[in-house]
Amino acid sequence: MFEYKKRLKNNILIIIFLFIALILLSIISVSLGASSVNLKTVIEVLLNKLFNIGEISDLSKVVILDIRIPRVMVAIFSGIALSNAGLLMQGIFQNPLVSPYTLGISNGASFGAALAIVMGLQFTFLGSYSVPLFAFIFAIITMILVNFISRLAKDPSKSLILCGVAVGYLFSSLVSLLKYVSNNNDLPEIVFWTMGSLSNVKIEGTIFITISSIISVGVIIFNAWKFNVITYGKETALSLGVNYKKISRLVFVICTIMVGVTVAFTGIIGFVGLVAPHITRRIVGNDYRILAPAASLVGALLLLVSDTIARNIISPMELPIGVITSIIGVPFFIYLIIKGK
Amino acid sequence: MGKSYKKLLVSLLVAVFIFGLIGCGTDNSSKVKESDTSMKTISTDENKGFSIVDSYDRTIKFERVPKTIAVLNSDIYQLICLLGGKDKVIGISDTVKFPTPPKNAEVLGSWKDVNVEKILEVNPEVLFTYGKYTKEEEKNKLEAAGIKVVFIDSYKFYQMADEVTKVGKILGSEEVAADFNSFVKKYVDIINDRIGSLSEEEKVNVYFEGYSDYKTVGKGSGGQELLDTACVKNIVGDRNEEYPEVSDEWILEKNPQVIIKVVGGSKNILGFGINDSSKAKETYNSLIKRTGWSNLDAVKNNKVYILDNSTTLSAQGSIVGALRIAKNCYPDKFKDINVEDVHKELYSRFYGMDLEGIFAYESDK
Repeated sequence: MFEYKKRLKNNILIIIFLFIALILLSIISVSLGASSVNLKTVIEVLLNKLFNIGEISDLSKVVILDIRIPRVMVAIFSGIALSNAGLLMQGIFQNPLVSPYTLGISNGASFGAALAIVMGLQFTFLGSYSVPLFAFIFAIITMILVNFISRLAKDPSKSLILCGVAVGYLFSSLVSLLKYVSNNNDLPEIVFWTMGSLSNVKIEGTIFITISSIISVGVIIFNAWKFNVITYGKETALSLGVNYKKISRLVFVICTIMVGVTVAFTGIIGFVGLVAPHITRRIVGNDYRILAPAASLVGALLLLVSDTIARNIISPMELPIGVITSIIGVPFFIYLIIKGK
Repeated sequence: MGKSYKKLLVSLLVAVFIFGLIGCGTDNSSKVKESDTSMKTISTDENKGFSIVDSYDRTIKFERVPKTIAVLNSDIYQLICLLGGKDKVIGISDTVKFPTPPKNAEVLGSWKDVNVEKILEVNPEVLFTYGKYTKEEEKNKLEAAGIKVVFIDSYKFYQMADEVTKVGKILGSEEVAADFNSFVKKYVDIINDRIGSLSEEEKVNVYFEGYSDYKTVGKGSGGQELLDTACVKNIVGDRNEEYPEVSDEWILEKNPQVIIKVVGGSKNILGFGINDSSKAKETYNSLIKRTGWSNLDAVKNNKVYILDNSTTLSAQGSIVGALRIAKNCYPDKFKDINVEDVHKELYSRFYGMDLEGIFAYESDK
């Protein structure tokens, strides 16, 4: 009991530490960018907006309040969504290699986005929402398809991952086909989308990502003990009175919403959903009551660091964020493989 | 039997669905009135040998003016039509649509993928294609079969006159090529006479955006050469990347005086046969509504322009784009120049066509 309390105290301290790190990194990220707006300007703008002190230029106001702060928010909440989706999937499938990629959701969303681009749907009544909407719809179609096919198999839980991989490959091939037949004007748009970026997320996207990830994390924390039980396997869960089927479905719905909404607006961002849960488990253990908030903070930190690098390293040009998350994520992933964690 | 039939049907349906969606773009080429372009003067002695150096510095020897041509590059196809060689075209790529290709011209595949087998079957005397997308072994196979492979890129303004001359020589239409080059030079000289002496400080600052959001042009790109020809200053001109993607806040700080967005492709926003500007208006509105752009001088002063790619980055149309950009940036210096008239003249004189379509969009305020 004493050992448990000590571990709990340590884990709470870790969460506080991660939270403070995220706040500090957010301030640094808001202070860095392609324009000359720096930390001093950030303080001036915040003082002006909060206490009406001093004069600020329109440029500083727009850059900080309309561009950098929303972007930092997108990075944080996308990180939270992808990380928690990976955490849940790895737990429920008892497979450390599962991520939103593995179940084909990202590939399905890519196909939806590419289809909207090639069909020129931005000139229909859907306007600029056509690409995120199609990406989201196809993310959901992929999840339903994977779930449906796996149920036809003898052991649905085991075949789910295989079905996800297969359907993911199918959509990946269809994206390649669309790329191949698209003209040289649509091609860069598809390629750009599949590499992922937080630069084109509009305010509506920021709101959707924020709300969906907050609600999902809330649901995870609320059902944390059930997830804890489920990670010990179907039989243990059933013997302890946890409805395995119901919880699996809940995981499925939460993951689809979190990943679907995020990927729809940001494009494909690799490795956060795979690596962030691993890092978190190594730090705080396997209790979902601690794991969910900790994985949220780790995912947010990872994506925020990556995005800050992506938009500053070759400023005023930007690197696709997917490139940076992979460069950071791959060495750690290899380390995990070697260490056998 | 039943199951495999169903599988086959599903596969076919998927294929039809995808290709149907892709093929849903309207082909506007048929809307443009065309007349016989085969009446162009052929100046070269058709049986005399000659050689040319292509865009990749390869010397290609011709024993005579070729009678059959295949072309994968749509800009070069337009140039061939301009130079009166359309009737010689027996093979094209899937993107060659305007002017309407000859009925007997076979589609040889994609513009970026050289289908050696199909080209060998059609067996043209000469193949025009992009050097960048042709593999060495593919080129060797075609050349071994006696097909002259010519790499002409045709999207950079400074190389254009030279490339027009080369293609003109291959087609035996050197006089037409020279005539076209002098047409272009006339307007380049007008631009230079009126604004060529402006210092860097006096030049108008321009943000030039390609098809993708925030993707602009830098040193070495066709777009940069177009801006240089129009005597304007690119806000990213000192960067070495050809097509950099820039940050939104950086553009806000640079505060360009003029913004130019190039559109094109299957979206039919502007171009040949387009008579409805609603898509261009939508594109314009989405540009000026970008975060913080209402603070930009270009937006405040209604200096945002949407231009069709056929008048900006193609061999035969870019002089129209250069003139339009120059006039938009320095309206007082070009009051007497009607860009639409120049555009119409280009098509009536060199293609024998009445030009129909909308090629530029600006604020109606």
